[in-house]
Amino acid sequence: MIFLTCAGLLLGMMVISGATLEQAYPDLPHESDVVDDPETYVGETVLLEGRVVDVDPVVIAVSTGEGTRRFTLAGTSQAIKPGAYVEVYGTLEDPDTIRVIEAVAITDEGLWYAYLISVIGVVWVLVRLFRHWRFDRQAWGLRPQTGVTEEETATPTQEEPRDA
Amino acid sequence: MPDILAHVLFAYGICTLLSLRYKWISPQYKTMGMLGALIPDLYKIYLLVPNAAVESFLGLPFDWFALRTAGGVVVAVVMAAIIFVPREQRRGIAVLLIGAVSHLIADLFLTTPTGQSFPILWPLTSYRPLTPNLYHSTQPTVTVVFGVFAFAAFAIVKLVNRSSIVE
Repeated sequence: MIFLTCAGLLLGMMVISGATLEQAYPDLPHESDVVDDPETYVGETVLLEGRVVDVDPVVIAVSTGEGTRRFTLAGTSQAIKPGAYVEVYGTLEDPDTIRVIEAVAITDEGLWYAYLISVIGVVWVLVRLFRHWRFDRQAWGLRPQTGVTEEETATPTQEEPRDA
Repeated sequence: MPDILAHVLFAYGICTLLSLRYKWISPQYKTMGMLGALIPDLYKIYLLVPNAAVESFLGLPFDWFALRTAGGVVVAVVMAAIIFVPREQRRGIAVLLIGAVSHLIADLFLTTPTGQSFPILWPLTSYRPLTPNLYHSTQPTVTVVFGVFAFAAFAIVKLVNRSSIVE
């Protein structure tokens, strides 16, 4: 019952957040706006993600479902590698140029690292979960596995209350 | 977010330190805390099932992002209580919540181009705190730092427990 209530509540929250909460940053023109109709947003502060296709000057390709558009990044001193993925916060100077306020670049190697190390993290948790918890069919739920042989199990009071 | 391993290490470290004060936090409950640290990243389902796909299915606006806020996490954890036998539910909820909240807190320090993080306290408020731009998920250094923290916590608790046994 609580489960269903919470499931409903969570779904409701996701609907409300979809309606009211722009995922990352509010009130800024995003990829879909700017790529479709750049002239409208000239002079405005925008937030875009794109892939670096040229480095001197830095040019990024921003893709949406509708199409792809290239923007030159002006005023960035960062060493940005081709192929990197960049989040740009800046002013649209003209339909093809963004004056950068701040840009965050993420390399492909970086992304691979993040994926790989994250998989290791998940596997570690799952292995511990299977060792430390067992499913009780009668009570229909998880309960802690007793007698776990991990050296750190030496939280003494758990097994034998010492201060008793 | 820092990578998931960093989040898991952070949750492990926090649960380990808390076990000094709350003796019931045995390795089993630490594991649950680490599992809790995975919850906020469930919002990444959007990579597989995009918001737009759910929207067209429901015919309503939709955003997985709610999962990566305090409100979403609390509701998700209470919902997850169903996986425990009744007498484990309170402790299970507690550690899952500790892990999930530790994840949100670590995410507050992530580098963003606008200098603003995410609305962590939603739905209480949509305010986005400023971020100190400390790191992003693609840096091995971050994993190492959280690893050192986890190990330090492990070592401290081990020392304290040993000395209390000697006494």
